[in-house]
Amino acid sequence: MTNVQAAVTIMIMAACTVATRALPFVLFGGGKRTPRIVLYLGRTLPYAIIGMLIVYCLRGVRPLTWPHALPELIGLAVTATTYLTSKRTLPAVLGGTIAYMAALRIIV
Amino acid sequence: MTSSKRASIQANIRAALPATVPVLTSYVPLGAAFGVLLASQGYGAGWAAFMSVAVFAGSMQFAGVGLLTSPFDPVSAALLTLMINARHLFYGLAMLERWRDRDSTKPYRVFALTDESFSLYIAHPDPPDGVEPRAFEFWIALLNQCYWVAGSVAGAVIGTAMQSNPRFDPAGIDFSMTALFLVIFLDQWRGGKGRSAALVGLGSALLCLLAFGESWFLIAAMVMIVGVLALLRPAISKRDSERNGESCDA
Repeated sequence: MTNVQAAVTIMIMAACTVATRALPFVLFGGGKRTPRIVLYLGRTLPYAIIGMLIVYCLRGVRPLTWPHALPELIGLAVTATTYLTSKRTLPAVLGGTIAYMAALRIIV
Repeated sequence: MTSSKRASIQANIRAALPATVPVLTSYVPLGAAFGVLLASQGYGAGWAAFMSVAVFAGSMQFAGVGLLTSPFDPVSAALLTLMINARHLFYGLAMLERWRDRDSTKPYRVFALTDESFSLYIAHPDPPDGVEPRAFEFWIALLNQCYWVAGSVAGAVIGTAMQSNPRFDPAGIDFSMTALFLVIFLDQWRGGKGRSAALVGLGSALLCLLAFGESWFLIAAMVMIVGVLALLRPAISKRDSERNGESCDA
């Protein structure tokens, strides 16, 4: 990706982010009622999209060949156990990433 | 600037600053993690500042690093942003009544309506005495964005410095993105709400990845998620309302 393409990609992200934040005020600012399907999607999409993003992050993993996704499994396990015991985001992200980076160097 | 105007700005900042401390402690390290990740892909402090000023959306910026390292694809970038940030529609809807004003700070407040700022607005419905509510919210949003920009620039500087050290090998550092999304997923799962939607997202993405391969599955997965959620709407709405003891689809 060239620098111009990167800048355009970022501007698209900026424009679409503003769109999601401003749309309710633009559409329903005059006291009109919000369609139920919009409320429903606004409520359920965040859950679905996070699930999708996990798959997106792991899209390049090849579980059928060596090392059979072992570094990823170790990283995910460390992240999950750290988060579930400490209930804090940052130690979990940091611990999981370090575990993954270490596993990558030891196993592969 | 007149001295009375300056005094009122100082009073507003003094009121907003303590309220934003919890966001300060989460935005600076998380922003730094984003900056390190971005720098590991060859985008330095200038890019980190540009993204954090123009986009200002945490999980979207992490996903954006993935977009910047893939072939140029504006359609996927737009769709992914719209879908990751769809939850912001809900925040806007929740703020509609409170923000009926036409104040000059309103465009910025809407632009900067992040999860964290929204949660502070809910936590502080009334500002301290003598502080105008919309000015109070404006400074909360602006301080929050300053923390986020500062964190990401610092992270990018650190990341770039680490890269110029020949002994530093960043392979695998992008796992921080995966770990962050897993934490958000677990947090939502523990909350008990939206589990069926979470499974729809995981399942659709996995199916589309197997069917279309890693370069093409994202758009297919996003279309499938909206379709399946729309199809399952009666069941999911019913389950939600039973769990909450009220109809939230009204």
